[in-house]
Amino acid sequence: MQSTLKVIPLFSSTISCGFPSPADDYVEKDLSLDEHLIKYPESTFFVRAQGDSMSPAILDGDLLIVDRSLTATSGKIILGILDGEFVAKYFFYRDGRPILKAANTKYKEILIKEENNFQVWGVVTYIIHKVY
Amino acid sequence: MPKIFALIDANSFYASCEKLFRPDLQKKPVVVLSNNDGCIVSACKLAKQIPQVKNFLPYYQIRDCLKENGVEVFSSNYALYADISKRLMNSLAKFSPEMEIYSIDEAFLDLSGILSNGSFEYDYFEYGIKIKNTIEKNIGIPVSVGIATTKVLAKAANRLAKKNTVGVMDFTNNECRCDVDQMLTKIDVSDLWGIGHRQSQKLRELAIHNARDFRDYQNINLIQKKLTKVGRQIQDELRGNVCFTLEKSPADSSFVPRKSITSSRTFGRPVFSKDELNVAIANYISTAAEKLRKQKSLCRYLTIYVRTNPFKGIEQYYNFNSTSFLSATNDTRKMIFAASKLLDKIYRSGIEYKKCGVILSDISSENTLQLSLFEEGDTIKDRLLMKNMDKINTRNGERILKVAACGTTDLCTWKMQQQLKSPAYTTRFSELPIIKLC
Repeated sequence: MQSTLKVIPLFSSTISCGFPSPADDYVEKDLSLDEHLIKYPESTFFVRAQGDSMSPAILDGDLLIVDRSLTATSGKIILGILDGEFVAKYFFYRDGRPILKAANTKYKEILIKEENNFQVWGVVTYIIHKVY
Repeated sequence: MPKIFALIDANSFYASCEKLFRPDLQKKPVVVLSNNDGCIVSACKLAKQIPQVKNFLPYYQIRDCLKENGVEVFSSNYALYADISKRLMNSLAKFSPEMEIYSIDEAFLDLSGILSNGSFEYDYFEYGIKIKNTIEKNIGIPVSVGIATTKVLAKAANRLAKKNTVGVMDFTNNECRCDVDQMLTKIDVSDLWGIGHRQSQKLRELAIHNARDFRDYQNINLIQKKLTKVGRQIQDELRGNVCFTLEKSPADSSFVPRKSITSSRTFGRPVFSKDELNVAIANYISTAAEKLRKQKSLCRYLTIYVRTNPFKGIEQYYNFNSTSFLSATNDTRKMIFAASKLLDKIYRSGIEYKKCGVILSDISSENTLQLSLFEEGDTIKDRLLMKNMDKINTRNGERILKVAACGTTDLCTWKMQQQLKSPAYTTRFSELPIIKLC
């Protein structure tokens, strides 16, 4: 699975001068972004976002981490399937009916109707945005 | 305490993987082709309703028919299937401490005693449903679950589970005990695990047609005589007596040292010249030797083979040739050199070659090397060269460093024909699924 994220070492002492640093006993294990960002590796998938409907929460080109094992609850960003197409939106219930809401106010909210074929594919857990 | 086995098997695994990132295909027929786009190897439920798909005919014969029926066709995407398989197996491992990975998409779990630790929350049938629902939600791949007291019965139960609407079949449930007899009549002997075409014919001579006939056949000596010990054991397993236990596989099966390593492909176009065959063989050796080094092994025996297309009305030719190394090796260069000498002996001109391959065998561990008096083994310098070559190639995900015999020009003619391959959705950042935000 995804093991491409780099491990970042956590330094305990900077210079070795022949005398062991007392801090060496307190070295902890390396920080792993994989472990931090991925709770359930089997059910976690990466997808790439394209478009502006979720701006400013998700920007064009952002990497989304999606966990299929999580249950969609109100207020979460979900990756869903609506009538055969992927959608990524805020998920809410209104009067017992699911609603999909874009972050960008230019886009209308979608009230899921009986005749729609709607499924939750997974819940977005992190948004990775490149700034450099 | 009786044993309880579950066999979990993905439904149309390759086709289901292709649908995972293509919601537009959820309700469309999908098929996946074999290496080189030769024939259909996996078809989703909808596609199986088309008779030509069911019969596993060569792709070129049914291409137009598939198009007319709106079937979506994919080349094999093994990077994707291997990743999804790993997820599937890691999820299944959470349901039992004892698991046997049986193939890329099926695994046996030993469920004995799992539900008797004071928690009567589930019976095995419900546990089966829980397994099925968890896998389908977390991984997104539909599976069927067969539960029984032996592996042969679990396999049979799984077969029936594929056909019922729940997707789970539990032979251990006492309330439907009488049903098991009836269920077993629905299973043809040829569909039993371990019974091949020839064995099933021998059984039919004894008027044994279905699994129940076989189970209840009294003359066990005759079964032993006709089908050997294994046949007798299969019968015994049908009677609920465990003969086959779990063969445990390490979590990552790619690190199980293999007894032999094969690398072969069908050419994308006919190949006539010895030079081209040499280049192809050099490439296959490079692949096989990489695997050999990855599992920290050496080989002593090298075989190459060439053949024509048996389905084409042309002059047919098949030949192979082997050599042994006095000192076991995993050096790509030595093997390529030896292989080209082997090819000299079996190459015939004027033949239209369709396939060639290499087999590395007599494999031993790097640590148990026995040196030969007469031939130098791999030196430390050789080892370092190979090691660094692998390192650079692994880092780049493709073979940028290679032995010159592998050729420098366009190699696509002996690489697989995979025109309809889907992206490596889960294993390459550059090919992640794109979600349109609109």
